[in-house]
Amino acid sequence: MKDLWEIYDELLALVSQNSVVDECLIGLHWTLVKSGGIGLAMTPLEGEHKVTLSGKIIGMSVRELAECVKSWNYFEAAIGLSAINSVINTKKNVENITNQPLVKQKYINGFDYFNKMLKGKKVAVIGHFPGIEKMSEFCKLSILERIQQHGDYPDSACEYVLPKQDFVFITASTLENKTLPRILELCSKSFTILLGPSTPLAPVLFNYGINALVGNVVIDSAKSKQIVAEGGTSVDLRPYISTVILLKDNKKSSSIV
Amino acid sequence: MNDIEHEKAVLLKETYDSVKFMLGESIEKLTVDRVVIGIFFTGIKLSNGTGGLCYTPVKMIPQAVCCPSSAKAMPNSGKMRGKNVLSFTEDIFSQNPLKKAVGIAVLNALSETCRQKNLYKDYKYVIDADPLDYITIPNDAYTVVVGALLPYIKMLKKNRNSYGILELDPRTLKDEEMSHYVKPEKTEDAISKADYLLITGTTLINDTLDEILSKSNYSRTNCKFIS
Repeated sequence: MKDLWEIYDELLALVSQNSVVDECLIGLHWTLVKSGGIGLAMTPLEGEHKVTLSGKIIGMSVRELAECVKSWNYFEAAIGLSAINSVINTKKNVENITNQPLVKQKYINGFDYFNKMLKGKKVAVIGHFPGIEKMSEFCKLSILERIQQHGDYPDSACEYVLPKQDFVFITASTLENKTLPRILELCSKSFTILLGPSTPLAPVLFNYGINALVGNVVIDSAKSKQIVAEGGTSVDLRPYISTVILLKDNKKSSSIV
Repeated sequence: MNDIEHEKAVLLKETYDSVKFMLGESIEKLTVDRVVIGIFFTGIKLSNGTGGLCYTPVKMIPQAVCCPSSAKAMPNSGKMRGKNVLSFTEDIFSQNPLKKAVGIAVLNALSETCRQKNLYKDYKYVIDADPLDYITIPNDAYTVVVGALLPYIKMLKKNRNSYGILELDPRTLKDEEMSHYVKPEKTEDAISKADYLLITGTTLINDTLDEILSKSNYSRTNCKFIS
């Protein structure tokens, strides 16, 4: 196995030492950090219920807070990932990467974008995303989920299930619990898509076997903060965030907003 | 009003009725400025500047798995700001634990509003104090701690008091504390024997407070409740 921390260090290298944290909110479903922009990461469902930095985060260096992504305390890792995303998943940064203006349009589901490629293929989804069951109508679908719902594989099945897949959709919360590096090793022959609001829109991730990034940029910061604070889910956030898809194979990464 | 179980929430209902009566028509002008449902606590701020807190009952959310299933847990996300307090206070009787937590936090802010207006005449308020600064638990007393209230458990241990711990999730207790854990089948017996009951406010959310109090020995003049 490669160095676990290499992928994290590459992301951290994108975060400058100069900016500071303006706001931090650990909501029921989403964790939010505001610095240059607003970054989101999934609030973990498990792990030690303790955040040692509480009361000290505002005013911290974003880079220092971002280092928490390497913490084995998943709550702190979520704060760290949000800090990274607050720098990377900004309108300005994404427009620079895609060379396209980011304009808010109707919500686009990341799964729907790849549907045509998936017909008849073996497809695994890591994380039980909303409404993905219907994909089994046109592909051989396997859902891996730590907290299983009916028909899901347990996450421990990934060692056996993933190497046989044509396509693998991976929730970016795997960055928080440190399972992403190993999952990517298991998916070395698959087309892999990292997705969800926790996804850093950083093309550097393509160097680790990821073929596509489906992430989000917060467009309406006030409303997004309110929804996170009031226990909202990604479904509630949809009208106030833009979906961005970056593809590895394009010389110019494409964006869909 | 939804999902009412008044027989289990008599104290909440009486508190709500009392606060509503004291504030009178002024309650209709009060709105909620901000709601934060955190992973540990839920906090709200009213339009009059007062705030209220309640424990966030994360473990009580049905199927707390992922966005699709827990979306139902807090259906009003993004729509709470600016609403009248009365649209939240009815939720103190809800069976949705998160809505209930927000409702209790609003009720606590309304209670604080009553205090600031000097509407409570029969109580003495002490600010920035620990209840046990004013109560000495005798060495021979038996205390039941309801909920893993660690500072009090440490104090009882330090003072070598006799005590038992009631906790719905005993996994939160350390090995040493488990020796004082009261098994569910022994709960009634322990409460009825208690000289002192230290009760977490979380019992208001899971509707166990009324039952705990009903099982305690009210008639004993030396049975003290600290909640």
